[in-house]
Amino acid sequence: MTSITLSVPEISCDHCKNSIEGAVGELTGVDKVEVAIDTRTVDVSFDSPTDVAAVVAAIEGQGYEVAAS
Amino acid sequence: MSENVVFDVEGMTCASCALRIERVLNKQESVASAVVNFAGQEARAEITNPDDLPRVQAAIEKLGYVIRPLEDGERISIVERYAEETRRQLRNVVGAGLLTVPLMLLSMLGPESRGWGIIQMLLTIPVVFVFGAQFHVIAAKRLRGGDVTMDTLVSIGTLAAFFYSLWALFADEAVFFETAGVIVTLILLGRFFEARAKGRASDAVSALLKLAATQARRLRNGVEEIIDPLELAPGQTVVVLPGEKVPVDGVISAGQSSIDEGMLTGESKPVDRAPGDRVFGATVNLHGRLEIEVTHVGTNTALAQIARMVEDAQASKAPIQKLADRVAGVFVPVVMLISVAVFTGWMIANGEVSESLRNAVAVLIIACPCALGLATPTAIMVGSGRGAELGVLFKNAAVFERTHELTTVVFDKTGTLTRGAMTLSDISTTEDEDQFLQLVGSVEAASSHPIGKAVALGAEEHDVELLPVADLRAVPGHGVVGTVHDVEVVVGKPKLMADIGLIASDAQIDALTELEGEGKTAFLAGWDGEVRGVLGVADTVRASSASTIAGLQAKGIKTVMLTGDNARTAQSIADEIGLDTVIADVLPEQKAAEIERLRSAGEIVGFVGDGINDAPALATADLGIAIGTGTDVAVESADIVLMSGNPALVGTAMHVASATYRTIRQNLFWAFGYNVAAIPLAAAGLLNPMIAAGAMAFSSVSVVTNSLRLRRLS
Repeated sequence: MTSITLSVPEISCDHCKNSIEGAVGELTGVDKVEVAIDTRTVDVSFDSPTDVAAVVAAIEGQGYEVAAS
Repeated sequence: MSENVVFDVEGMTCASCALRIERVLNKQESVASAVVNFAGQEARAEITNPDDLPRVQAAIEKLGYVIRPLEDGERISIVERYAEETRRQLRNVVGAGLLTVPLMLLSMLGPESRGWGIIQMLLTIPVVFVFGAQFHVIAAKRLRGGDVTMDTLVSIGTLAAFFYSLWALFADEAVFFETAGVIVTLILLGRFFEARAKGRASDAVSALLKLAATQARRLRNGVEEIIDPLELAPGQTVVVLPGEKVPVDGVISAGQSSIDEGMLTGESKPVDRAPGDRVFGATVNLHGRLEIEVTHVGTNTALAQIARMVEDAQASKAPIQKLADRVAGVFVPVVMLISVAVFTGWMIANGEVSESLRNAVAVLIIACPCALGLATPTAIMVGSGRGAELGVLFKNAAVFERTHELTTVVFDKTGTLTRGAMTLSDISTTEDEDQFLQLVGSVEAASSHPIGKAVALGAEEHDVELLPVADLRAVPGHGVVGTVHDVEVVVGKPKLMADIGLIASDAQIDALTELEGEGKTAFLAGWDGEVRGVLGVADTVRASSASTIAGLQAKGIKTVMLTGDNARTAQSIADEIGLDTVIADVLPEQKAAEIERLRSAGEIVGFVGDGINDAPALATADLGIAIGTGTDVAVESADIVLMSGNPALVGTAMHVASATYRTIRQNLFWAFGYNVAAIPLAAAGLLNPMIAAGAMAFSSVSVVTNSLRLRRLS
């Protein structure tokens, strides 16, 4: 199980939270995804076949940009 | 074949929604370019393959928005949108009211029997479930996302009242259908006020848009035809007769006139315009027939851009509103717990379901932070609308809070504290004066710097013919070099002379120092290894500069002037105006760094610039205030735009912002005060749900009324 925290500076409201949690949660192997609006971050726990690239792609597919960290 | 499509977008809740949709649209293969306007709730896209439209729509709908292409001319303006929302809420409140009035009369005066109770129930059902349906729908939607809002509270309160009464009706106990009805009606009334206040605040936008011309005379093959300005395209030519409005933005191709640009700039004095000059839609041609080549139409005109800025400011959310939302998010669950505790407490104390439920419902209703939701938006919309009327555009809502926090205001000298229109005041030369002016004036005329213009104008006044210049090279902050008749002429500061190798005499340096001591901008000019003359230009201080500075100082704000002039010139002007600090000898590219230096010293800095080379400084400052007509690119970097160069508008901006901020805080107090004070009353059973609903609506009304007071701000 891998856990990462991604920074997505454009998160600003519940709408953003729901979209990202929905898109990332659909990926096979994702155990837990939580968006924190205050800190504008996404916490994800996942197993294979999902990897970081897939999570980033899912977030970007929703029209957000993941900040380099 | 590509096609421009305008979409109506539903479901955008914040500015970042617009950004997401824009990004996803631009990723689509068949979309060449797309722009999403949050305030207008619309998207514009250039689609290369119109057959692909359904797929593009599906991609956006997957993000959770409803998107629909608009037919030509179907575009719904934000003004109409508000008007429609107002009409919808009016229908709801009137419908609910018409049923609630007889409901109240029946409950107060009617005989107590099951038959009459059933009539009350029949009157209540449409009120709660049709006119008040929006509360339940929104509450359910939010609840799915784990969100509890004031709609939840209203929904639970009214449903509790309704279903309790339904049970009471058949248990032969006292019903309070009228409570549910009155709550829905009064809250709908609050929503109607909110919609109307929004609509009213957006009057500033519709007032701006009404300035636009309604017809244009298009010139085609020597024939004039009268058409709708929307049909014009860039490149076409229009004729504007004396007394007519310029229909769109363009460049004069023939004719001369004075133009009243007051509606855009706030400047009452007409300006002279000749072929090659830019003119703007909605300005008035005072005399003389003009032929204008169209450059910008529709939403690209200066007028439309200003209107859009007002819209954007009205739609963006202030951080303080998010605070209010956050508070509501905590408040609601706490209130629900209190309600449960009250019910439990009363059940333990006297065991009567009717009374316990009645008091629990009273708590739910009185706590509804309805006015809390009105507190910030109404104040901001009325405040920015009033600001626009006074000549100040606030580009986003966060500005109101930041303006209030400013500790230092930095002014760019040229064009803000001074007129920026300089005149040539002194020449001393070892050459023939006319010949000297001819060479210097020619080089300066070719540069676009305000000092250059002053020298060129001075040369023209001496009836000197200006010559063509080759190899023009501007050294920003230092001067200009150009070749006239094979002579390399250098005009600028002593450092530039030294760099190029021109030698100045002691007398020339003394003359320069003397001019600077008089507050003038002095510089040298020369060629062939020698400095051959000294020139001085003077700028005039704007009439309202000193009083503006004094006004800021009275508020405890430090005033700073930033200028490329040398320290002596700058100090002389600063003394005249009464500034606290002068930072002189600043090159354009150093302005932003100076602002940053002040910020890192702990100051909250506002920067007032005329928007020609100030864009980086405007963006760096905590609050960028641009002086411009709203067409300059640099205006985009600013937070506040002043519609004329009058520095007194800086004071106006501060005044409007602090009044708006104060109103927001008062509103939050009102909203909280009513609710918090009434909760113990409700819990103690001293409040029935009807009084609770009345008090709550009253708090909404007082918040909205308090905001509307900003309209009278002067």
